[in-house]
Amino acid sequence: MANGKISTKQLAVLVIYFIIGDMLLVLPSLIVSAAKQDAWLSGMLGFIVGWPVAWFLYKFSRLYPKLTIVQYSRRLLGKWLGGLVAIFYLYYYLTNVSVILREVGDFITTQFLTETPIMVIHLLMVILIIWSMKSGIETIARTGETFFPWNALLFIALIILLLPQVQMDRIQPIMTEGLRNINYASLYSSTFTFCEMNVFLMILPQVANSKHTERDYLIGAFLGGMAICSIVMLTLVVIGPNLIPSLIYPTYSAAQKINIGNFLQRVEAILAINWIISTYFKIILNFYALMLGLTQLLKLRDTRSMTVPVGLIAFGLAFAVTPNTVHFNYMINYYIYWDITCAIVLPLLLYAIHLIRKKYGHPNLQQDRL
Amino acid sequence: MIHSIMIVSIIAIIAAGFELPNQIKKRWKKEVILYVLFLIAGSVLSVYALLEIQLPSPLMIPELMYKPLHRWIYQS
Amino acid sequence: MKRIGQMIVVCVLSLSLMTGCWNRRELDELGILSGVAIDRAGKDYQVAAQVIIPDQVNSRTGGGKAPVTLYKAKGATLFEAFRNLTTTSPRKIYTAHIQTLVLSEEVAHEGVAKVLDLLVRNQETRMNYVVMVAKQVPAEQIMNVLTPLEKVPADSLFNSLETSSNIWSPVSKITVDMLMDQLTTEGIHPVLPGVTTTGNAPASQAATKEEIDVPVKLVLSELAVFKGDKLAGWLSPSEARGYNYITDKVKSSVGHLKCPDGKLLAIEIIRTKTKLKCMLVNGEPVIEVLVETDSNIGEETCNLDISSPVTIKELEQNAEIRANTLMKKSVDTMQQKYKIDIFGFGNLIYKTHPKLWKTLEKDWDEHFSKLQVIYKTKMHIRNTGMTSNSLTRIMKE
Repeated sequence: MANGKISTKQLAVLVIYFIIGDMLLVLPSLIVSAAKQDAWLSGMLGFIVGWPVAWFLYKFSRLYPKLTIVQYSRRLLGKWLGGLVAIFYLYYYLTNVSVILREVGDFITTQFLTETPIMVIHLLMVILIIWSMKSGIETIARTGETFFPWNALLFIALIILLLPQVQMDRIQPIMTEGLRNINYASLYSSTFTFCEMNVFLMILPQVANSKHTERDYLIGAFLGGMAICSIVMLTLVVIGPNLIPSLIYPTYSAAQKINIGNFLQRVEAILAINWIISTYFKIILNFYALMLGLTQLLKLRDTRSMTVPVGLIAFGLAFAVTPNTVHFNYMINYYIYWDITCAIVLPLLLYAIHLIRKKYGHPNLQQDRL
Repeated sequence: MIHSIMIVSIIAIIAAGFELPNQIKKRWKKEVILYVLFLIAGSVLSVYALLEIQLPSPLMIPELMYKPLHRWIYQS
Repeated sequence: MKRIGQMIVVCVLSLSLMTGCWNRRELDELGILSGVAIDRAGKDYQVAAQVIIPDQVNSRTGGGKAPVTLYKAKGATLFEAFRNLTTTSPRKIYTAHIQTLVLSEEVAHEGVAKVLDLLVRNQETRMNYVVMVAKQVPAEQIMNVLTPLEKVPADSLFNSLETSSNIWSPVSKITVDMLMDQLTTEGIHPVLPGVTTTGNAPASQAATKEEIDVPVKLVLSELAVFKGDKLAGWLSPSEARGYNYITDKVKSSVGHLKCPDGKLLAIEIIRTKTKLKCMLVNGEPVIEVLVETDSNIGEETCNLDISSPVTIKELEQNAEIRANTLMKKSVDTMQQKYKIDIFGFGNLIYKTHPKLWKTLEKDWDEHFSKLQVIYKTKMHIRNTGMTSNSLTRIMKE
């Protein structure tokens, strides 16, 4: 069904993009309002806790290397129960697409094109997604590989250009906020980045098999996590824990501060491009997972046939997600639980069932008929 | 209001016009039906979005599912 | 061939999308704001906006007219006042290039935070413009003064603030993000530079280009001290210099010493770095201010023999005592007269001894007024300029 092949290097790049995703803009505000000046500790803790989750997801997908989670959940749980689990995951992917679309739209209409209706931004993104989907996963992966050096360069440039504005004493006093706050804040940085990687359970079967796959995947996850940690730390020491909770897009405000010799200034729009590109990859990977899963669930003959209708659904839902940005921040809190369910709870359950079935001997489980 | 419905239907028909003939020619009955169904669903949602009518958010389902859990964790 | 056709279509379509037409604002529809003055007029806010006239700023097409113009408007909220500017201004005010914000004393007494909210929430304005308080004159009069060297007076204010805070330390350049930082950090209260006008010619709307000396000049002199976000008082230049030393804002400066024969000797400070330390003595916090300075001798009119190392040593000790006195003076003023911690000693205690801060934070201002501060300055005089002994000394011989 899925007739695309991604190389392991492209997989690593996609992993990095996915982890960074929309976190560049959204995460610092959430994590600093919970943990204040210890947010950098939360970022690192989230990384330490989340990276094994990414590894677990990889290992889990290796149980059935050529099958996606939609397929083997049906195989393990039977047609109806497995179908329910599959629909749960598909709903998760669809919501992901709508929510992140909405985030992009909100950012652009708040910061740049304030009078443009948000529909226009959504429409442009949806057209892009439909077009990417029709081009196939290899094209997406190759696009990632092409853009990646530039994005990495811009990211490192952001860090270097902001070094003059860093005031390290903003992270003091260390560890007075209490472990409970640090732990709660680290939930944000681990679930929104690593747990959402359960999308890769749908994508890993497309990766060309090589003995370096695991290593490249883990390196990608590691680099992505480091990028997240450095963004949290950077925003914290440049703007400070007092101002960040009231800023909606703190990384953007930090980028506004770049001023080298009164000459290199006002360059924050270039960093916004960085963010939009990494968010695009998160959207397209979620959308691809959605389409692939839909095709497998409904036993369609072609992955690309339903792209436009599902794209339209995503467009409509992107508006329905929330009436305004304030409500959005409130609803985001439940995402933590959802991410953990999809990334840890359900796979563990499926794994347990896999072990049970293996023990009681169901020989046709290991075949990959599709 | 009429404008939005017209625009969305035109887009939907154009999209269908590109994809459906291929599928009909290949006699993929299931795909055609599903395509039309999803297209109608997508169009309806898009019309609602263009008219800026607020529908229940897709985030309502996780909210319903996890609210008890959230409350239980915060009580302890 | 078909490929090239497809590529061209794609490029053309992408180009048409990238122009951002929906949100376009032509340059000739924008009134570029360079400086804003906010006053109170009864119950309303009054905004005076200094807007650049582009072809007067350009030296080729500029003529004998002023390069900026002033628009004034009133409104119940600041936002409405800004919008009301369009009743007199033909263009929509574009705030992205704002350089200076001047607040009147009345507005500062009421609270700076209220005024800042609009400008920070707006996505056009950035956070790198300076804020000042107008002393003794209404803020709009500050905006009304033409400056000879800089075409745009608000730029002139900005630059003179930057220059003077770099080379003459009574005032310091406080940008909006620094102000917001100081407002939201615990254990420190903000300060803002004060600006006023000298000379008493009538408001100079028409540039008098016949005289070299402009009748009305802008002067940056005193430092406004705030309690929270409300104006509490003013520090004179001699008191304000100590503040700049303690908060490590001095980049280079000039000071004078008294020679034994009563005449004065000027030293130029090239580099200075201040470190604050907080120590606990009997459970009470003691702040130690360590200043390390490199300087040169700038002007010497006494009869000293500078070529001997002993003299230099004496001068260094003299300068250290003087610097300590300066800093002590401003801390004493703040401790006794105003009881406001503008130096960030409270913040330092919070960062280094958080548990102690929890017990002190409620009446920190009381504790601050009794706080013991130790000053240690290390002055190194590195060189004596281009000459060693001064002319007066050589002349006598």
